[in-house]
This record gives sequence, structure tokens and C-alpha cells, in this order.
Amino acid sequence: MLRAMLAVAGGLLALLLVPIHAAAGETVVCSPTTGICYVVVESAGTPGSEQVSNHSGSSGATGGTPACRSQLTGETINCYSEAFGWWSNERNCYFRLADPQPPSDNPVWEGNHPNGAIYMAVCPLPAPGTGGGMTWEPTPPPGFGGVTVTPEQLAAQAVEQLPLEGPAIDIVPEPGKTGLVGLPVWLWTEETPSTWGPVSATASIPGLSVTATARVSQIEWSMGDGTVVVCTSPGTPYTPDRGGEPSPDCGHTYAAASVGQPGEAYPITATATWEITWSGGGATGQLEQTRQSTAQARIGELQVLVS
Amino acid sequence: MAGAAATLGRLAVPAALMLLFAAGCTASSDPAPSPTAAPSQTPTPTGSSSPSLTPDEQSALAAYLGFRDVQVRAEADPSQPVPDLEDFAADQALVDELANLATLTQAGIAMSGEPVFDPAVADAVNGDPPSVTIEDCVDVSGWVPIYVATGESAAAPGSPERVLATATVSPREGTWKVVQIATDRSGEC
Repeated sequence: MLRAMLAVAGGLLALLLVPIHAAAGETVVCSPTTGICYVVVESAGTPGSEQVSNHSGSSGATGGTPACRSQLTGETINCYSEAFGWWSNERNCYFRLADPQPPSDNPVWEGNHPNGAIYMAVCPLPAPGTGGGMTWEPTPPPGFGGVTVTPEQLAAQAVEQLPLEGPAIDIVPEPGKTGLVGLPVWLWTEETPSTWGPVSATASIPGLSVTATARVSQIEWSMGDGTVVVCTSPGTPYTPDRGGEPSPDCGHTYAAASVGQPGEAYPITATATWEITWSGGGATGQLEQTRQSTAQARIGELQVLVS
Repeated sequence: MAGAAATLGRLAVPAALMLLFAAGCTASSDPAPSPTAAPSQTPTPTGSSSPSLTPDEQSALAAYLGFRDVQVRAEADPSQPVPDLEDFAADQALVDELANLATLTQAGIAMSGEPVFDPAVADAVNGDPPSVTIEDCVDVSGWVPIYVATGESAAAPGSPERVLATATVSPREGTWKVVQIATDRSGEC
């Protein structure tokens, strides 16, 4: 149905967009949406500029970046436009990856999903056929600058920029103080973007941008006495009014004193699992990373004098 | 009574505009649009809350005026990205506007001044998706293409002062958007 609408629109446009050649080196173009017509002036010496265009197109070895050239004016243009994407001399259009990519059952895929990708083509008027639109391309169009970097590679860069840390361990008994056998130990982490999330980072090149977001799904507290406590919350900060209560969500009670442990204290390792999701350039992905922090808990036994 | 007066007041504005346009159509040497005509070019509660319009027609009219608003802003500096264009345009209308912006960019042309819009609902089809046709006799006499480098007019000879635009507006992913615009440059509107 969309195609039928486009065909109808194309028919109407064909009438509108036929260029009217005014004076030599001038083209009259009419905006299809406003009906306003304007005179596009070609740069002086059009034949010469066409030669340059052919030259750069055929050899591509003119030193450094390939020259991008407007067929409309014959003038050199920027190969990348923030508004429209990458310019293709060969196709006479700008191309940008559709973001998000249309679903696989969208007819624009022409049944090719997941091969190739959907691009938004913007072609200056007067364009052959239409002025562009969504198009399936088996490979990036000639001149497309995003060709060397995939969303996956850019995602890796974004993930590297994430400031992921291990838990900022808070523990009662506090370091330097001694807890007691049978008294609850409270475990928690300070809740900051770099210790619990969510935290995001974006990596981008012209025409492609990938954002990765990370949050902690759980912290594994290895208590040094063989117990592993898994907490899916950051834990609850201890306050003196809690007295000898256990932590409501993340804690442990030692059954034996830490005498005989290295440094006479239990070594505690807290391992945070960071769930990372990323999206951009029509692709998405997930990965997992861990970060560790360490602490110690000195646990003594209450000496009861029996007479 | 006060409500009736307000309604009359709203009706009076388009009527005055039509008179202005009618005068403009016969006398080609009319001055730039008067300041009183300016408010009609941006979405205003007055324009979209007309009691005779259905909710669909109001949404369509708001989308059309939103599109025109973004368009006027974009064409004043056509090389700049306009992400909100896609909030109001889709399908062929979006492609056409992007193509026009790319053309203006490469040609070193920008639109100067502002047009005056006066859209009206011409038709509404209750299909799936629904569709509303909007007709607008756009006064483009104060909206001219200029070469950015020199500031000189880039208007093609014989440009009309009014263009009849026929826009098709329809919901796309739940939002009413302009999906197609055709124009008639004969100046007879």
C-alpha cells in the first residue's frame, strides 16, 4: 500500500520536478512541498569540474580523502552532512542508516532481512524518480563512511568508557573495629552511578552512534568463612538505632571468630555483576562484566567469665 | 453571550484573511502580509479548537501546522539537522522535504522571511488508518529564496504569490503526520 502511495506521489512529483533549464549553467528547481521555485547556479566551467569528478571516482588515488562533488552545482561539498548523512558521488544521494532499523517483516527489506541494511537516502532535486527514501542496500553505498566500523565495534568503545567499579563496601562492624560471633554483619555498597548504576556512555563516529547503559544486577559477597551471600540490592546502610538486628536484605552472621585468619580477619570479596545493554545503528546487544572490591571483618568471641 | 462573541471573533479572523487574500489575488502589487495575518501560521489553540472539527481533523491540522513550522525554521538554515521534522512528517512528505533541504544546501540557497498559512480541512476519510486532506492557499510572497553568499534573490522568474498546497495527513505509529503534499502553482486560490 505504501508502495502504491509512493508510486502515485512519484507520478505527481515527476510532473513537478522536471527541471526547467533556464540560462546556461542554471537549473530551476521547485520544492515539492511549497511549490516555490529557485534558480540553482552551476559553478563556472562545468565540463572541467565533471572531469575532476570522473577522475576522483575512477582512481580514488588523488591523495587523501575522496573528493565529494555535487552533481547539481559541480562544486566540492562535504562528504558528510550532519543533516543528511554520507554523500555518494556514484549515487548522487546522501545515505544514513535507518535508526532504528525497520522490523524484519517491513516490505522495505524486500525479503532480504537480516542481510544488508536499511538506509535513508536523501537525493537533491531534481532527482531521478523520487528524492530518495528508505532503501535496502546489500552493502554500504559507495562513499558511506560508516563502512569500516560496525555498531558492535563502536559498542565496545562505549562500554570501555563506562566508569564501572566494584562495590564501595560499607560494612558493620567497621574496619578497625571488632564484631562478635553471632552478631549480624551488615553489608552494603554506596549507591552511585559507578558502583550500582545506571550509568551510560556513548561512542560515535559521523553517521553512527552507539549508547551503552550498565546497571548492577547482583553483588556476590564472599565472606571469607566459606559463605557466599548473593544480594540483588545495594544493601541497607546500618544505623545505630538498628541495634543488633540483622540487615533486612544483605547480611551475614559469622559462626566462628576470625582468629587464625591472615591478619586475624576474614577477607571479604564483593563481586558486582554489571549488566550492559547497548543500542545504535539499528543494532542492539547485551553483555556482562564483573568488578571486585575487598574488605576485612574482624570477628571476636565474647568472653564470658564463669565463676 | 460571551461565548458567542468569542466564536464570532474566531470566525472573523479567517474571513478577514480571505478578504486580504482575495484582494491580493486581483491586485498583484499588494504589500507584505499585514501583522494581523501572522498568528495563523503557527499552531494556536484558536485554530485547532474550532468546535466544528473532529478530534482527527484537529490532530491533522496540528500536525500540518507543526510541519510547516519546522519547515520554515529548517529552510532558513537548510544544512542544519532538523530531528523534529520526523515528528510531523513521514513517507513521501518527509522524503520530499529532506530532498529539498539537501538541494538548498548544495545550491547555497536559504529561504528568507515567512509564508502565511491558512489551512482548512477539505476532506476526512475514516479508514484504517484514517486520513485527512488539508488545503492551504499559502501566501509565499513574503518568503523568498536567497543566495546565502550574496543575499540576492534566487527566486525563479514568474513565481506566484500564492501556492495551493494539498496535504494528506494520517497517523503513523500513533502520531498524526503529514505524509504527502502536492502543490498547484497556478496562483488561483
